[in-house]
Amino acid sequence: MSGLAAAAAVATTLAATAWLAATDPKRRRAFRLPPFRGRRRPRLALCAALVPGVLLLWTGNGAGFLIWLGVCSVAGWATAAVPPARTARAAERLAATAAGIGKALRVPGGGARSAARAAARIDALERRVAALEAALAAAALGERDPMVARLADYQAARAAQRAGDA
Amino acid sequence: MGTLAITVHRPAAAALRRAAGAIERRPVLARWLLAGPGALLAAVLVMAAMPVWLPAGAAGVDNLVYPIVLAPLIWTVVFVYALLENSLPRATAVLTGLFLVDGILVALTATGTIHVNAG
Amino acid sequence: MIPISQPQMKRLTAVHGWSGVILGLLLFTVVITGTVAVFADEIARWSAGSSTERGIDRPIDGIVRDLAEKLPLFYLDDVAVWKTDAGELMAFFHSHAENPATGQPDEYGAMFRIDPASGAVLDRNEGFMWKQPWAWDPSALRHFLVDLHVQLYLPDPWGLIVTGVLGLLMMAAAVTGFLMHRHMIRDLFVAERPGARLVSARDRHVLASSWSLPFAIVLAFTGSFFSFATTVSFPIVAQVAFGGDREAMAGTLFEPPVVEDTRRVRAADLDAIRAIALDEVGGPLTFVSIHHYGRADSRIHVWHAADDGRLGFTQTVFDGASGAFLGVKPQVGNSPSTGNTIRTLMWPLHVGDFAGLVSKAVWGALGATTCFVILSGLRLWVRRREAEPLWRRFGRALTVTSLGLPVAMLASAWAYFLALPAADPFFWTPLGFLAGAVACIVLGLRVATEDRLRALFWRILTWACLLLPPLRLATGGTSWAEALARGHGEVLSIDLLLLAAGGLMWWARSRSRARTIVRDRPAMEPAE
Repeated sequence: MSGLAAAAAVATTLAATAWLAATDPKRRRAFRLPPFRGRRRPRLALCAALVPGVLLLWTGNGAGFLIWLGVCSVAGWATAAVPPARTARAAERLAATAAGIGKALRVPGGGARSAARAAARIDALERRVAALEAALAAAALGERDPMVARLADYQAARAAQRAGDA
Repeated sequence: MGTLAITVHRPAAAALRRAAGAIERRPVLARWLLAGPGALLAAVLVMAAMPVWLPAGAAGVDNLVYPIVLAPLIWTVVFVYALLENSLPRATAVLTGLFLVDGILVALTATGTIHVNAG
Repeated sequence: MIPISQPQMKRLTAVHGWSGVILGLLLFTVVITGTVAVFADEIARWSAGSSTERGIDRPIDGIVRDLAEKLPLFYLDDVAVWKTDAGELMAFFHSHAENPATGQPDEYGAMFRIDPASGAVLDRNEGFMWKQPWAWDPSALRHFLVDLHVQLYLPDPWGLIVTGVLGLLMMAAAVTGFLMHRHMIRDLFVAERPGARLVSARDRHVLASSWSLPFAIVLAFTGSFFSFATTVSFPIVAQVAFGGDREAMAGTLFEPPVVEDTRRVRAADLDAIRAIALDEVGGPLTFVSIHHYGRADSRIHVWHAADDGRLGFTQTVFDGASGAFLGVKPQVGNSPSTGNTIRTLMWPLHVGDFAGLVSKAVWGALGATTCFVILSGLRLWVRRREAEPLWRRFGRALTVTSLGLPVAMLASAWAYFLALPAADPFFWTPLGFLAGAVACIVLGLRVATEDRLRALFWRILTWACLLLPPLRLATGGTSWAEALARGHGEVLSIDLLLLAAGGLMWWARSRSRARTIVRDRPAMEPAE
């Protein structure tokens, strides 16, 4: 039970850390990404990152607290150390893998499932746009990136799609 | 009375000013001495005097355990202070005060005049 | 952030940089060996090829009673019983005497190595046994790696003093680094900027050190405490509080008061005591110590390893004559106290041994992060001064140390396994390390370019990792099938980890070579 609590605390903190990293203004500036346009809510995210540790201590789970602190130190560093372009590529790959797994497991279902699929598709598309933006920024900084080559195809396809829609 | 006070304090103040001047004339050497052997000696003396003034606690061991456990932390605090203090004469005065207070406590314990706290 | 003036910043930068440059390589040695030493028990079981159970899980009363009956009373002053990482039971019947080799009080007695299943005595040795590790440590490799971390293989007490000073240096570096970095929170998510520029090197160091700062302080503080506790702090406090009588101070801190009663009585049943101890506190029992075996005033202490949320070791105390449970004893003092809580936390905070492999893996990762911080800081220093030949040479020393130390540690493992079948591994393991280190230094002096040197070290590391498991098997180590059948997880896990590390290094090298070829190709095209 205490192990599960520690795992949940680590997951919550890492999710908040990833959000803070992805929306961090200085990180985005340093990698020439456009400023984050949504609501960042840094204080709320910081609370979400720190409260799990406080709760572990509060409930007397000393071992869980130490593991939480250690994992968050290492994983927080790992999250921050990976440049945005690479994070976006990894997210894209993850999304593709998840989509592949989802496709393999898909059973003909009701409306709820199709709505979930649509939401997942929108998520995947958004991640792809973020990846492309990051790749563009990386290209502007002089990184050689295979993503940049694919960007032209992507833009052409989008233009064709828009023309078709019109 | 006032005359007496002036005659007593003037040489002492002058001596202190001379000492401060001597310290400020050799800032690098003074900083090295304070943050090097000074911090080490202060840490050892603070640790040695802690069993005398720290309460022994419910189990009668806190005043023995704290100095042993906290020794590295005591050194770090004194070292960082000696490094950051802008006024070298003040740093010298603080460290000398630490040496004197803790040294006297240790000496009094060694001679049996005072005793360490017991549980 | 604490406001820092320019002169203060100058002093902080000087101390942070120069202390790192002067002692950073030694500090790296202590930290990287410490990272490996976190897994000391696992390495011992892997190299000795044995049980994963460290608890005393079989009856011991009959064995201890039989041995005690045949020994003179002198040896029954204190008895220690534990199980080694090779799964054998050890019993050390001893008293206290001055060790002529050190001039210090020491434990002298007869040590038995016993088959826990049959109770047969496999080996008996007599003397100041803690100075003879071959008699009780089944793994010379573990013994060497831990010794290298704890005291850099230097003689007592100098090794501990040196590692203690390095701990203080790490504390100073962490605190000065924290004070120097004014925008720590703002830079907390700024990854290394591309282009391999100076700012990239700075980003790399600052990011890693910012995230690992709390643990760097914790590891340095606890490490420094362990190094200085016995060599400096304990004697000083004993001098002030007990007029220099260290045994009296140890008695106050660690021994419960007992009214002396020298009458001989039948010793309590150790197996019944084991059962009560497990019932009262739980967790694996790792150590049983009996004071005055077979006397009316005998006391038995049972040590429980950290488990099930308990952070530190726990001790249960029993009456050695009646077997009555007397209570749970704090590590320090005889009733709960803040001093005991702080003291108890030191060990788990330093080694991460409180939640099995999970906490050890986290502490291993923290150690690796600290290694990265030290190396990236030193690289940044060299990068800023690479125009000067002296600092370029220091950069070379940095490469030799950072890649040579892992090579030397692997060389010690190679020497251990090669010596295992026919020679003394306690002699050859350190020698293997020394040979590896010397070979790396020679390579550092002879290989012309930095790139070639790195490539060479990388290749050596790759093959040393890949070939170590086959070597272990070839020298009579437990086979994978046998390990699986007996549930010896460490044997398989460490072999697979080594193979994975070697494979990963191979892949990384091939990838970087392929990249180099691609990068160089456009320059060649016009000539073609």
